[in-house]
Amino acid sequence: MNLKTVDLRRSFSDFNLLVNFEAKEGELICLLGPSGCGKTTALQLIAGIQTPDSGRIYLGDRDITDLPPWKRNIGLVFQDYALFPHMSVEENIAYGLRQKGTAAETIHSRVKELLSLVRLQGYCRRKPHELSGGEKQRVALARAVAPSPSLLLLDEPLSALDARLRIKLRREIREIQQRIGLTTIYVTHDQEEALSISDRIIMMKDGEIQQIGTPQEMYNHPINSFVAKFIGNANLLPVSKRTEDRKYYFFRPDDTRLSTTPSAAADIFEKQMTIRSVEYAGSHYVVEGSDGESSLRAHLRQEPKTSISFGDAPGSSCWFQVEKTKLKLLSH
Amino acid sequence: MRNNSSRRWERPHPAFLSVFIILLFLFYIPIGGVLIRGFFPDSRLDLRLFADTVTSSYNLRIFWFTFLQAVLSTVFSLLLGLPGAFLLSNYTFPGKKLIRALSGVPFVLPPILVVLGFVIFFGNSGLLNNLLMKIFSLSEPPLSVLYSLKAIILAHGFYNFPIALRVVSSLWEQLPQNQQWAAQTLGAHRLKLFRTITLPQLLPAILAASALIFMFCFTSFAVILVLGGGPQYTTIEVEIYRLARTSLDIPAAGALSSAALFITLALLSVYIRLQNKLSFQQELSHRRNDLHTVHRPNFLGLSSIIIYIGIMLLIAAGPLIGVIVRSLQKPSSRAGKLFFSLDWYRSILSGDAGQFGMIALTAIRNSLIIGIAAAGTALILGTAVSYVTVRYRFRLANLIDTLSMAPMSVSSVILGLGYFLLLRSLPNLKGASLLLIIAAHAVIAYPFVVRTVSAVLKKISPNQLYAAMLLGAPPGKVFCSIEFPIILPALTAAAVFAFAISLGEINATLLFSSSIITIPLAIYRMIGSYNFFGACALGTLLIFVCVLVFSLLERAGGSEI
Repeated sequence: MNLKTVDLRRSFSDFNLLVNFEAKEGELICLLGPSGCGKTTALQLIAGIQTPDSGRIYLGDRDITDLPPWKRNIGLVFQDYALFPHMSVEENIAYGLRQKGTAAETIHSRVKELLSLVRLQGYCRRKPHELSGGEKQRVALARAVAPSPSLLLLDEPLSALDARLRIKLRREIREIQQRIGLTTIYVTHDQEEALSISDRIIMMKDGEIQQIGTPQEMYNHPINSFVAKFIGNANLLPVSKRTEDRKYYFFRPDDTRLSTTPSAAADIFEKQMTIRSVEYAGSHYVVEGSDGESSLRAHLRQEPKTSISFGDAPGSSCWFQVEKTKLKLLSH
Repeated sequence: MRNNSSRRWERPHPAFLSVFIILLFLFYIPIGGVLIRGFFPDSRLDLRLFADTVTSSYNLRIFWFTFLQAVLSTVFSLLLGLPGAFLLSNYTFPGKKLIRALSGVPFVLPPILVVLGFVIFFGNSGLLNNLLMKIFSLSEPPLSVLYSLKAIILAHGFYNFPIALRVVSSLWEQLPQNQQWAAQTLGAHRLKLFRTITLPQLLPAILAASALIFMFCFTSFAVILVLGGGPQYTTIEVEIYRLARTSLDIPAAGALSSAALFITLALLSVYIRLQNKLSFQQELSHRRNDLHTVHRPNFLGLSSIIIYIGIMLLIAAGPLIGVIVRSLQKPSSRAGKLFFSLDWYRSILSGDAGQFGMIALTAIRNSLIIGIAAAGTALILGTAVSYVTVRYRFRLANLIDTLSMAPMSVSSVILGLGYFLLLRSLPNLKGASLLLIIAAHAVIAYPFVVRTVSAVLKKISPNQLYAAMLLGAPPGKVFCSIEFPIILPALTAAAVFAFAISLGEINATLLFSSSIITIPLAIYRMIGSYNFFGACALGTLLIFVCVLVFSLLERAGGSEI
């Protein structure tokens, strides 16, 4: 089913949330943003844990705004897993089905089916305190999905896990989601996560939606400097010295090259900077330069033959260059 | 456009309000009655009585003595408890767990048992004197401890040193080891380390423990009543009892109770502030992973441990052992030699119409009935209050929380006085007396239920409840399938705790009970009529029940006092 929020508002003393978006059926949409941007509040409004001040929420054809959480048929996976400590893995997963009054044998086979879906076969009898973080998360996912909800919500499900596990699990979540065809809203502050698994991304800041688009659109055509900085690495150069005039030139460090001499070509944009640091990142070198007011980065394959300025000693002066086709002008 | 239908589950069900109405009747009305008598002696507002009460030289002397014995008792309890805290926190030795467990026993014993034990052990013809006379071939008992300030302080020390020991050692054990090593690398030798690093961090625990012990000693009743033994050893609580039951001067008792209420409220606010500082310090220490390391004791340490255990056994275990021993003895004639006998227990079991057996059996029967009824009432009351204050967020939440915990700060003697006034104004109904005792015990016990159940309720994260809701369970179902199973162990522990409190309760019961006899009342009266052996038989039964309850609670993980 698709989900639609219309003018959904929630205000706190110093914070105002307004969200308007639609998640199409079978789509995985990411709510992305820094802490405090309102993404978890938006999720809790959709789940019914919080009540909006105004606005409507539609799931399929149903207006669910006034429904209590236990009638919405929505699954939610929490960041802290929220498994029931006194129940086994099987009982946890079966909980939603028990509330529906499903027959016992049906429950049992469904639990087994889900356990193999999340690759935890044989874990029926275990208790939550015997599980690792990743295993708990998979049980939480199975539990949320078991009663066949119309919508799945995930609230930063992987942030409590280490990096390797995160990458592995996010792929599994995406595969399961695609296999079931479940409309899913995934809240995260990790832009890499959002880029890798979403059909579309909703970027949020201070309670407002900044941009909605596919990962490629968000990466290549950010509509403002906030989105540009948040997703991937960004070079942002103010166009003019006047601070009220907040226009920026925007381009990616990956597209930036270094030269000791200025270029004469008309299709090259360049800026002269003093080299501040060179760091090795395995697949490339990160070269940072600054002119006292702004700084730029370039990702280079080869180690640049430059000297770095340190303290009062001057470093090399270089021209940071980018093709104008890769350059964008952002209005704020 | 705000809708309220999905918000309804954020506000408590109206049925919960009935709990607070019950509390109103069981607590606020009796206490109100006491205050009214103090300020409205002839049904008119007359502050002179209250003014006279707090300024009369007689009462001022009583205030002073109450304060003095509490201070001395607190110091003595610290002297007993702190060395133990040091030993437990810094050394590892065989039997450490046993010592720690035993150290909690004095605290769970009802005061009447403490009193009985002391009379048996430290009395002129008590066990200690008999032993010393035998060892040193004396003709006169060498120690005259009883019925003096000495006895009061000693008994209070016995009763309260576990608080000092446990509160301080539990914080000490959590002081991070890294700090000590850092200080040492910066040049601090051991004494300086203790003075500048350890002691300041232990201070919140020491102060909190002192405040709590002071409050217990300030409001102590049975110990002063029996072991003080004289008008010069009267405290506020004892005087209230005397005014109400002996002089029958109710207005004076009311006025004195009002003054006492104000003083204890002031003390309580000091304690709460200190307790908050302690919790803060505990939180600071708790986050770290490196705990205080313990070492095997050297010779000095080992001898300290042995000496300390010896003193603990003398003061803590001696009286209890005395009670048990005496219960198994019987004089051959009026003042004859003692010989081993199970007669007292046989008498209880058969309930023979001779004085002791029947009284004892009746007392046991009454105490069981009252205990179970009071525990059940306290459980329901306490769980409801717990649930409302922890689960729901609504505007009056803080107020309700304070109002419902008020019984904890009011002394049970004053509560007993309130019930005494209530009883006098009620028609002479047959079951009224019994119901009032059950009610009084329930009110006294229920704050402990609230604390126990709240602690566990808080551990259930809201997300777990939301998860259950989103899986299709409405709030009632969430409680039955998620919350209740998780808190069930705490409920059981709380019920057992409440039962034990009721079993040992003497303060309120002494104040207003006339015809119904409970085990503590029976022991008290037997002490008064010099039937020590019988009292010890009953006392031993009570000791075993309390120890059983205590070990059950320890097993359930109650490290909170």
